[in-house]
Amino acid sequence: MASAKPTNNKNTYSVCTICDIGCQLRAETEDGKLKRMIAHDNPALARNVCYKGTAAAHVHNHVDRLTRPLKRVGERGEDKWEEISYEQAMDEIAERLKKVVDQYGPESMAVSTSGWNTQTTHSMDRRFMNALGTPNYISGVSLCAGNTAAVNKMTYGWFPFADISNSKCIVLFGHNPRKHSWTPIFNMINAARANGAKVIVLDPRVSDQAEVADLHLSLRSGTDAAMCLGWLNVIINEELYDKDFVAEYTVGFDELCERVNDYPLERVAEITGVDAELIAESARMYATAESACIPWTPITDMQISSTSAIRLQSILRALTGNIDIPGGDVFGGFDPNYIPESKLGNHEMLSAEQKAKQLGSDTHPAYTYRAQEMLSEHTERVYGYAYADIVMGCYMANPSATFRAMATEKPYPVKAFFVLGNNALMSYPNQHQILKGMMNQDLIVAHEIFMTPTAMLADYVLPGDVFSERNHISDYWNWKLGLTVSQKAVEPPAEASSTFQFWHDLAHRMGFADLFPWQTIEDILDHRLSPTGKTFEQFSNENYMYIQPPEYRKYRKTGFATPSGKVELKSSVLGELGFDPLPYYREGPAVSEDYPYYVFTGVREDAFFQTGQRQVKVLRDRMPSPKLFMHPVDAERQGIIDHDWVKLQTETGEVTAKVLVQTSMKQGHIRVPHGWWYPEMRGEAKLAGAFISSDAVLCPDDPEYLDYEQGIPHFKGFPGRIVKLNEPPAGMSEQVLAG
Amino acid sequence: MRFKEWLGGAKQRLMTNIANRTFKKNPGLLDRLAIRFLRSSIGEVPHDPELDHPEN
Repeated sequence: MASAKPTNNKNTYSVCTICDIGCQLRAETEDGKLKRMIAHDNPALARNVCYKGTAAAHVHNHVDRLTRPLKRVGERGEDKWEEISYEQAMDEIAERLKKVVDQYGPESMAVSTSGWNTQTTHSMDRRFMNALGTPNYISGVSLCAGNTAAVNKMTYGWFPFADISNSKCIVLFGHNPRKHSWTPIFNMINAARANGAKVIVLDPRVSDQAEVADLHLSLRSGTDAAMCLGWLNVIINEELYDKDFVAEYTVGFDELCERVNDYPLERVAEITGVDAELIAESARMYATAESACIPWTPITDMQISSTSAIRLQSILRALTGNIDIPGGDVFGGFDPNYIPESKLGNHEMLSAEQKAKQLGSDTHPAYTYRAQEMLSEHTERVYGYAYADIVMGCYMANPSATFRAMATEKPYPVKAFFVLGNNALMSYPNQHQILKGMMNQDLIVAHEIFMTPTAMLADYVLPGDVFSERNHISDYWNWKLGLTVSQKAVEPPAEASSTFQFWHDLAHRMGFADLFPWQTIEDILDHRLSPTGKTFEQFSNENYMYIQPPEYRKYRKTGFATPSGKVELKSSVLGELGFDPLPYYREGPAVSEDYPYYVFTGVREDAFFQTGQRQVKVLRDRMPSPKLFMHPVDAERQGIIDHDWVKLQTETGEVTAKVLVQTSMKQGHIRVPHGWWYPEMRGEAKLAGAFISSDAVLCPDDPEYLDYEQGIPHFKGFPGRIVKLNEPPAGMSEQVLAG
Repeated sequence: MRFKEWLGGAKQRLMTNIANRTFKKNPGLLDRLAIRFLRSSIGEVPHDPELDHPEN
């Protein structure tokens, strides 16, 4: 078993990217190989580690790591390959991309990536795309944090980070940070609680956080916007808001009051299923706390009223005077010590004509260029630069529109799909449509560390590096102000390399060499650190982390980066785009006799991040099979007991999984874990079982299932039914059947 | 309230400056004092066996 003390003398710090939190850990190497990843030696950081992070050596040294470029030799998806050299792969990819662009135009190239996973792209993907002329960048952050950043900007110009540790009241909308998932957030909440903070949890389920909360509101899944309107009703009508702040720094208060009065507590109680008095009590607790924060939550990101719900959380922060104060929600801004990816992306290079072609921007523009560029001059006025691509989520195409274009060639053909560090097939709604789109491509390039169902559909698969194999400085994607050093501990295997290298090498082959002058990751790090006057080597020799000392209420000097310069309770951007400028609640699709349960998907499990790590034994042993959660009353009605195999069916698809009967579940709800496939079934089941248990088949992306402004799917509360299986599904391993 | 908020902000800036001293690779005298302060206020973090995995 591993112990806490390192066995070599090398003091190497790495930012873990097994998940998206970015904990800094210590790497221990032996004979040029990563031996262990262990907790930090700084006591302030030592608790920021989970068992996924300490499994990094098992991931990085895994026998199934891709180490050589692969070229498809069978039919698409047949998973037959030949090894080729990196140079040959890049030459052929460039040649084939040129052909696609010549035939269909530059917008026919789409890129799907996850900056969480690839980490060291330094926005070279966007730089390449902007040089080529395609706006069609999609990412998992369109469903998680990135979209929230874009919507937050509409209300007050930036995306704040909650100062949880110093807060006196923390509000968790469905978010459930725990010891081995979102660990630093979990630690911050514990620190605040020890310092007297109250915690309010709004979650259908009695989650880990709900169990120890001061107040738990078990709301119906997908009703966050209604709940926020109920809170505002209490806060406004009981005059619990910050009157000075509202008078001086907001616009649209009277119109907001009118809208809020459409949601009396009785109505909100009926929508959410939560007692009116409990709603009022929780609103008072939040509004009257000395300081309070509403940390970002992935749950609100994925609802049919997502834009309104995110805006309502922003409005709650503002009305209660909790923005940009200690213990509240704090604006970062660009880090003065580090050139941001927003600049490196060169968004000003892409022409207005090409930006207008960004898929989905005509119908769901919130996080596309069309809406976000309406903020550009105001962002420049306050923050000194027009493009603020916070959490990489502010200039994206809509994924559903992109996959539809790939499948149907409407409104125009998308024929080249590049997917990096992102199992796209299983990471967006309507997996069947995604497959159809991928099967209709002239060129698919995947850049991955393992063979995934998505990579199996590619023409070329390039082997990616991992965080112990490269230098980096993490800046939290402009969400909060701080720099964390990640040092290369070992060399990448064989021909594995970074996404930075990939875009650099492709750019040089496509005629954009002058825009990509940095030859190595260290070159770009030196460039990004140039405001400090230090190189990466100098900076990382001196510090392993640096946090910018906070400043508060910065808006007093600068105003807000919105068209009015104030907090826009009534959004001028949304109004100009033809949407309701005031927040509202929209009911999701109703349950019926055929589909009687509210299903919520996209749920993260401790052992895994998204669709990853199912092949890593030490993690899979902790979570051998996918499990749905049901309430005992629902289970009894269905004749289901713990560990029965079932099919969860919706009008769009079905998922096979085991059931865990839990009293913590809300009656009438079913919780579905995210991202299940079976690497051990590779060669036996289609795309390694990507269509057996993947939650991405369940949620449709037809217009009635999408948030109007962003085009976000309603992952939190769509109709489904359970069918008990009399026999376990065929082809499953003993571990799956037993676990 | 405003004074309390100002005090809270000043405390945060001070704590951040102390934390930054503890993040140095080659600590000087003041940095070592900051590390000592941090250890005395937080204490050592015991090893958590839940983080262990069997060796391959």
